[in-house]
Amino acid sequence: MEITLDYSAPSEGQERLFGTYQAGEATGSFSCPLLYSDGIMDLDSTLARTKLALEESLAS
Amino acid sequence: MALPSSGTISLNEMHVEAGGTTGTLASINDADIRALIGKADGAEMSFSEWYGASAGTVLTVTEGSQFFGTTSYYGFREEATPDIGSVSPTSVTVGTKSHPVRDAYRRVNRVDGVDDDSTSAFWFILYNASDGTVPSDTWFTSVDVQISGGTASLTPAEATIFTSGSGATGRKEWRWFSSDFTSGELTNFAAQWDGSGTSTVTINE
Repeated sequence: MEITLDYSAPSEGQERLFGTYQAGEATGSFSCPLLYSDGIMDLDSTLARTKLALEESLAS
Repeated sequence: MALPSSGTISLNEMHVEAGGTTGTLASINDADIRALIGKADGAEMSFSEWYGASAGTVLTVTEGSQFFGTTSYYGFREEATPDIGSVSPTSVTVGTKSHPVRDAYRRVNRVDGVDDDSTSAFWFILYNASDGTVPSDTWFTSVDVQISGGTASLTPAEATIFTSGSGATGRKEWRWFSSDFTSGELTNFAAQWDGSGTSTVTINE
């Protein structure tokens, strides 16, 4: 399932990411903790984790 | 009802808030009373910490289980047909609105028919109120999930939160990953949420 997340680019030090999602026919909004690695924002991992959670939610 | 936010608080009020019977013997170091402000046995505490303390809303989940090829679920799942397990009470009050509980369960990856308990995640899902009101992301301060031998405290700040749908059938989901638990908590989480008996979820505001 293709999942698209739409969000405003977060600033360094920001704690959470907010946005909307589209997953097939399903749409909604999301909010998640921004992951940091060695003090550097890891947006890729944050988005991957959010998509995983969405997949699990929609598949259940 | 929470303890007063100012003024005098009696030990009896603390005891009753903790679920005790008024006028019966209690000590400020009793586990259920200490739990109102999250203190360990013998810990230092200040008078001001008791203002507004609340026992929280306790949901009792009578656990069911559901298995798919690569996933297991333990707890309450209204989204399943028929429901898996049950919950009491069946709704929680947020502000003045009542929100039915949709789900409260442990989800775990399953490989060759065996759960990988290191992947356990906790899901808590509420429906919107009957008038469509959506609960805020942070209407609670923490959720204490019963695990074997104690509780795991989970906060909205740690949660991945999804909002979907609208009206009374819309819902909000709080999901905590395995990384939000310590390794010891994961072991005890799996031991407690195994599809049998009852487990509690205490919502603190």
